[in-house]
Amino acid sequence: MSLWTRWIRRRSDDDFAAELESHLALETERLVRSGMSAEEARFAARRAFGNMTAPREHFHDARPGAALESVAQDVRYGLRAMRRAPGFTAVAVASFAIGIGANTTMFGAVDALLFRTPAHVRDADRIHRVYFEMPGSRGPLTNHGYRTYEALRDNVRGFDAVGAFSARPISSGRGADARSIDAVLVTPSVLTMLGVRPALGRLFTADEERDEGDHVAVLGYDAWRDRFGGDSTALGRTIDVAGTPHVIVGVAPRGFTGLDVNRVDLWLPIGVANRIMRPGVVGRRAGGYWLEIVARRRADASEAQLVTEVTQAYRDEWRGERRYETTFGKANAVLGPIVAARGRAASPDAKVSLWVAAVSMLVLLIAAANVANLLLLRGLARSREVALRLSLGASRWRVARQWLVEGSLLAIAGAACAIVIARWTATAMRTFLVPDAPAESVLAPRMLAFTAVVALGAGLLASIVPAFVTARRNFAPLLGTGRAGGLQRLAWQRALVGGQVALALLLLVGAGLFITSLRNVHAIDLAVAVEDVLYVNIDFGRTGKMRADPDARASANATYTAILDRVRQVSGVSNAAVTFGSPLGGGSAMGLRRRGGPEPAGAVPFWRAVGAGYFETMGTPLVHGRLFTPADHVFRAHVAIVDESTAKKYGLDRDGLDPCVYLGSEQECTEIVGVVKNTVLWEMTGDKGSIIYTPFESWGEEAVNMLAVRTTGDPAPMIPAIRQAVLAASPDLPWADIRPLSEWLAPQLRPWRLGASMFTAFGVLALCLAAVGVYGLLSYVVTQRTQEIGIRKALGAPDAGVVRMVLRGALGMTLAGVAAGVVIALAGGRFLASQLYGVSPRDPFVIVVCAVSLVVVAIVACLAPARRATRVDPMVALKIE
Amino acid sequence: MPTRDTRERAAILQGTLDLLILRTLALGTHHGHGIALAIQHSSQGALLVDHGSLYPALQRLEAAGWVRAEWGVSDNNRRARFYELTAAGRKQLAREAGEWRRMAEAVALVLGPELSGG
Repeated sequence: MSLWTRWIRRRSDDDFAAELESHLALETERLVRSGMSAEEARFAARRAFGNMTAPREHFHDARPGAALESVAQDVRYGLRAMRRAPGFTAVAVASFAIGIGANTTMFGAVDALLFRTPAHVRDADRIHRVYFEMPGSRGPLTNHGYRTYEALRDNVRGFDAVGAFSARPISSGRGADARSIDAVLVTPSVLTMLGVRPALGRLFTADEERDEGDHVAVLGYDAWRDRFGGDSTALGRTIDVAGTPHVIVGVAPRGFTGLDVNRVDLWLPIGVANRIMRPGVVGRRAGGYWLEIVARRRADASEAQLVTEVTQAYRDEWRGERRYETTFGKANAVLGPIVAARGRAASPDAKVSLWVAAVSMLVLLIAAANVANLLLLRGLARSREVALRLSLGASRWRVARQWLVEGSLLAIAGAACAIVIARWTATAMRTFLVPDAPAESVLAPRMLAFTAVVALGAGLLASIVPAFVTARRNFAPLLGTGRAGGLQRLAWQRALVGGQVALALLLLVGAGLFITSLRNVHAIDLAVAVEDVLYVNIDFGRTGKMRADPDARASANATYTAILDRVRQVSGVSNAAVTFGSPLGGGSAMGLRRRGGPEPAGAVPFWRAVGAGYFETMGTPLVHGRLFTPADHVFRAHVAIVDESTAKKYGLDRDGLDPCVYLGSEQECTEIVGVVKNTVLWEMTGDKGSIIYTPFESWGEEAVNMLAVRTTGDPAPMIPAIRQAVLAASPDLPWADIRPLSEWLAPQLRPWRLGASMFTAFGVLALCLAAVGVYGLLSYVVTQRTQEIGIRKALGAPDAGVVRMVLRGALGMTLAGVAAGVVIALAGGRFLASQLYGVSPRDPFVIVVCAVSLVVVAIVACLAPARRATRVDPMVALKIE
Repeated sequence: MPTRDTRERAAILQGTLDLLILRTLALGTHHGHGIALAIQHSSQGALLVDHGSLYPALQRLEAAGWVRAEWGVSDNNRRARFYELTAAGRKQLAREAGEWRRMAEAVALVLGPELSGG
């Protein structure tokens, strides 16, 4: 049997055809013998047979592997067709490469941000991040105090586990060996709830939560490998955590990063915060919003029910506390997903990334439309071939399938190019968006699978229209002349080009809006020379209980003074000053009372104690009055400077400076000597101020925690020199965090930068693709209408008329596309509104500029075909017939 | 599309045509043309074999291993492909013929004697 089958398989089409021929010959002979003429007999024999091709096709299709073989044939045929038209192939493959490349580029980052649940996590869908939202606030509150964690742990029955964690850099080691470690402080319940198993040793036990007994730590896998050589003897050794040795009891499994995507080098019990932050933050006291809370829902608890329960527990926590009853006491719980980017508290980066990913899909759509158009035009050019195949008995499905195969081939070629491109772009995008997530190559299975799916989808999308048109069209009239009609008849093509123009306009408008936002953000007067300042932060508070220990404080301040002297001598440093309270953040609050006036309601100003030269270093301009003099610092004068919003709030702007106000609980007068501009506070786009500045020396009870350094050039390259100066001043310091101020603001600028750059990049690509679409269609039309143009010219039509004729067609579809794009932009703009700054999503200027530039590009794209039209030689054109 | 029509007809005739071919070949080797004529002959012209479906049927039988074929020379010196029943084909013929007879008898029983005036 199998022998027979093998033999059958070897039997060729020709052999079968020979058998049929022999049959016809025999039948003809028989009929001749029965008295027919040879001619009649041949005809009758053939008629008796019916369709000659059918049995042959049947024979062919019935063989094993026939379907595969016919696809292989289509592929071969498609490859030949692609080779025959290299220009067409190049443009189509390039279109796909751009479209698919854009998507592959975005996928790595979006995948890490959004699609992947964190590694080693069990029951991820039952794990929730717990947020609270106050009525009327802009977004949910993601950070909470330890007390809230306890309240939820003890009072919410719908959770079977509640945990809290806080990611923060930690100084380890001293002097030249000091380094910063990315640590996460956790309650032991976090690790047990996630279901993670250690790679080595053990994780934390419940009684280690407060860090009250032995000091323990769990190493991250990568840190274990990098710093301990992946040696199991790491267990039992110690690691310095802000001056205290911690015993390593275990190693976390490879790739485990907790709930977030950033690399974690060290896991520590939450109680460590009492030592490295402030005593008592892990305790019963309210205040300090530094923890993220995570909880596991009971399998039988419904989410809605839980929200009520958590809200209740939270409100109960704040009941009876005058300051919070009307704020936190009215908040509602929000249960977010484990992947933060999927939930309400998604970071601006994540939101913009999603937008950009959506935009990359649009680019792919435009690319697919481009290829569809090219295929359609190719189809028209090849309609004689198609008509011939149909008339020779090929089924319409078979002919339509040819397009699907060719579209897929082009897409696969495009995907191959896209992967090559994405090797750089995807890595860059990932590094930009999720810098700390473990890197992944574009050749990783997930990336390849995504690219393959996108490529096949794009290939099908691009070829479905040509296939459909082929299957429906009547080709018979074409067999004669092989000519197709003019632009009016190319409805599909015009629609596709119009669609491309519309999508390109959307992307351009998006780019325009983001660029305007970015420009607006840059134009914000921060009243700080962000580009020229760096800060040095040595957190002595981490190494001891600074507040409780005046001696430690004095020694820390002395160290800062010594460092200040050294740093001022570094060449390239123009000024430097110590300060308490970070320049862009808040700090302690400081009440202010004017004589005879009550304290106004509302938030209390922040207090910043600054050393000599602070305003000059930071570049904060004086509005009126004076800055602190050296004498103020030396003599610990009771003077203060306020910013404009504080001045306004207390009426200091109306009455001028005030010789006597009371700060905090002081009974002694403080003189307001000057008013400075409002500076940025946390968020660049948020409210500015209000701040009260006092000379650092006048209030002896706080420790310096920052050194601001003004440089004459770019501050980043000066970091090593400044670090040297710091170590020279005091060789036994914990890790000094030295960073340009701009780095602090960079994360805030990133969403706009990302939006502006990616929308622009994709918008320009879309513009090019649309231009290629217009150009391709017009070139085709001009070629097809050569004869008509020739006749017109022969009849005396001027060149201008011919150009007008070509342009009119192109402008029609471009304007229709622009109009559609504008409508969509106006309708969809509000979804983008929250990502913008200082510009309406319907900004008329942006929309008009984009529309006009699109039209201009479309006209430019028509110029070459139009010129070709004017060069048509009437005689040559007429001779074509 | 002629292709589809032919296939449908072939499907209807398949069982019968296969049986007739096998039966014809039981009497000796034949080429396709000869098989068609022989069927026509033995049915006294009642059965007209569609030449278009004959060859696909032969193809099927060959694939099933019930017939084997070889190129040879016909009586009037033409090259033709000659089909021969295999042992498996003979068994198949017995099986199918039996089934067909049972079927024909059953249908005849249902139809009963010829009704007049119908």
